[in-house]
Amino acid sequence: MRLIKFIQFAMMAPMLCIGLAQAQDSAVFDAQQNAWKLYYQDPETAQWVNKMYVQQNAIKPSVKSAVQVSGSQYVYRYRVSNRRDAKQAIDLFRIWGIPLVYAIPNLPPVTASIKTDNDKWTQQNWVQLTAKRNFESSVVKAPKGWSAGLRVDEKDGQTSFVWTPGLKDSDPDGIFPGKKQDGFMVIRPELPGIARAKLTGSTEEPWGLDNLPNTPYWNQKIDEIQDLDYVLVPVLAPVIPVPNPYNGAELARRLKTHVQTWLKYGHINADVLTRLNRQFDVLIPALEINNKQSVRATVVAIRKECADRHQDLGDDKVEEDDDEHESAALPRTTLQRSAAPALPLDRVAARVLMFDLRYLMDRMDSVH
Amino acid sequence: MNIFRLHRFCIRAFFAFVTIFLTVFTVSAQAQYIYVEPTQYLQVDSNWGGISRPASAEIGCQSIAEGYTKAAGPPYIGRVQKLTHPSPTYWGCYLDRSSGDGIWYHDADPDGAIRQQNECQPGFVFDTSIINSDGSTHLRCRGLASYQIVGLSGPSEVRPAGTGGNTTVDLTAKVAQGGNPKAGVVVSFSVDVIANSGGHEHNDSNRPKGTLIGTQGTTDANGEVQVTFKAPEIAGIHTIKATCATCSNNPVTKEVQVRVPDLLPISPNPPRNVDGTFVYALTSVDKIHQGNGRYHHNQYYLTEQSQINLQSMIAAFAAEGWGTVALNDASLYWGGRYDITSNWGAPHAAHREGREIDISFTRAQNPVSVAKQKIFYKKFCESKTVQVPFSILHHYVLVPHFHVFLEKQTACFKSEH
Repeated sequence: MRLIKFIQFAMMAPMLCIGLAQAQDSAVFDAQQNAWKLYYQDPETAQWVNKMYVQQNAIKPSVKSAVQVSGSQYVYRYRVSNRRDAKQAIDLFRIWGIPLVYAIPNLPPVTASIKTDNDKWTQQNWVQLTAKRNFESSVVKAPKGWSAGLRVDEKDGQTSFVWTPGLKDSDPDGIFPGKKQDGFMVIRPELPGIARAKLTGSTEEPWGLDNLPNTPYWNQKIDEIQDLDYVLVPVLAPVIPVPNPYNGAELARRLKTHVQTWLKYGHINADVLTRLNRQFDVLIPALEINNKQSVRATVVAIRKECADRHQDLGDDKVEEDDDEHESAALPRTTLQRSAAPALPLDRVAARVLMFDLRYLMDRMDSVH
Repeated sequence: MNIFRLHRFCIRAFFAFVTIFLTVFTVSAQAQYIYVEPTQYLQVDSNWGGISRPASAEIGCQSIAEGYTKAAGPPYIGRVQKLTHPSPTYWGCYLDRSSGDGIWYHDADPDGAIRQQNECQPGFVFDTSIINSDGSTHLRCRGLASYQIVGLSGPSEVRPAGTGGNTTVDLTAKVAQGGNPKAGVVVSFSVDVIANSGGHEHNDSNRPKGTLIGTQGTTDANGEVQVTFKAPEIAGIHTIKATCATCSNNPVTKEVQVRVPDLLPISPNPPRNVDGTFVYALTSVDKIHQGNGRYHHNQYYLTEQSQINLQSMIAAFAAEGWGTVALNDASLYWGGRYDITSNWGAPHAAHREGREIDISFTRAQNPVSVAKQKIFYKKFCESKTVQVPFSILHHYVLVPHFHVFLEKQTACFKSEH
């Protein structure tokens, strides 16, 4: 009798253990499918489910960015290409991390209370939203079949320019492998700096991470999955506001501050940054006391730093570079970094320095 | 003669005064009684013990001070008798009654005998003066009410279950005697829900109501006893009742509103686009969508933040050339489970917190093809402060729609970091 009970227990124990083992959250990456195998308890149904989340990074983008003066504004143009060996179409082009939140001129106020005068609030808020939309339309332009948006993350003090395919059936679904799309445009008065364009590929269920449980495990996993779920490409972007009233030293300070951010994103290495900082530390005081000779000498030194890294980069290519110099994706994994070591100074970074310092010189020389 | 009349008048006036004084005094001095049940009755019939015995007043049985009356029949005069049973040996008190000058009957009905062992607690006496609705009397113990429930306190609002935050409240009943806390008093609690409350325009016996964790307790040294009210998923007004059998003021009630606080209605007067069309339409209140077991008409409530986000999203739709945005269901005006088919259950298990809304693909003639749905998701995920997960649910009209989380931005709502 005891023997039978022992045998029964021995047979049931592994099943119990399997049951317990199954009731464990898990996220396992399948490199072959470029997908995560997720196992979790659905928050709605409480059922344990298996789900596959395909990463949105199987794209091979490059971006050509150009800047052109238009009166008191700068027109930034972008062309996005998706290499032939990509596996997904690019369906999102978002230049993010612009460290500014634009003031919208003449924004109609909302004076009504949503709590006590809901109708009036609705009308006033709509008028304000319409004004915002008009402002967006004046800043971000989209090619035919695409739509443009201006996203503002006020908490982070950041702005993004976002382009996505249109919703009509006749609109494209994205930039397919081997194709390119021109006509993405931003019009702003800020001088160029570097920003990163976030690009993603088209998948069947981009919302696949939305319904995961709100637990520390899954919150951490979602961050981990999402951090590699896109491709970053450096681009020229309106980042550096020109001081008003104009102050050359202040502009140089802003440029220097911006250059400090490049190290984090791999647009510059530490040695070059140190050398540039030394030059800025000479340039800024020289501008403050209007020592034009010193300013010129320092600007020449910085331009030389750029030319040393990119010998074919002349003034004629600062606004618009050759097609062959389209920016490629930044390495994001250890494997990618070892395959393509970062340049001492990114070519877009060099263009930024040359453009902005030329502006600075022009302003200095225009004052007699 | 005059003196005699005056004298007689004075005597009458004196007696009238005394009568009035005694009446007033008696009424004012009449104590407020409370009644409690004896712990147990010994049920006997008129031939109790099978032995017919002569009734005789006995020491050990308490008298009935108020007399014994019945609603039907002649007035009875009652007295408590004691009857002894020889084998096994026990005895009980019971009520004898007589009809007018007629014979006496042992009256075991309805109260049975009053057993010596089951005496009322100290300070209480047996009482049969309370007449039940059927005309019978019921034996109770009567005493002077000297303490009362002075309050049932605690929060008056709690969130419905399943909406996050605190969904239980602790309520405290306090019993005092002459202003001082009364310890050791048993207090019972019960709960009920008010029909049609909480935005549910329907009611039946299946309506879930909140529960009490522990329905009875004894007051502590502070005269307090606590009960925990646990909110149900369905919003509504609940009444918690505290009853103390030996208190003079029963019951004491407290209203607890089970609700998601601060939900606001979407304006039924939408702004217009440049072409004169409406920016949005509340499609669940139109003629097409009434009926089908839907009894709710308060389904357009959202939090303030969701209202703001919704308008931003509608503006984004407009920017895409969408036209009038057809808003289906949001939340009921107190939130909680939105039982769209009025069955207190699914579907529409979400829509509880005023942070979600359904948007129709097809109503207002603005369909989005399936092929474009993922573009739509990414568009709003990346460019707007809203999240649009594609829960392609099938509602009662079997039409897929956007189920929009207006505040729960998680996966795609990120800036550069």
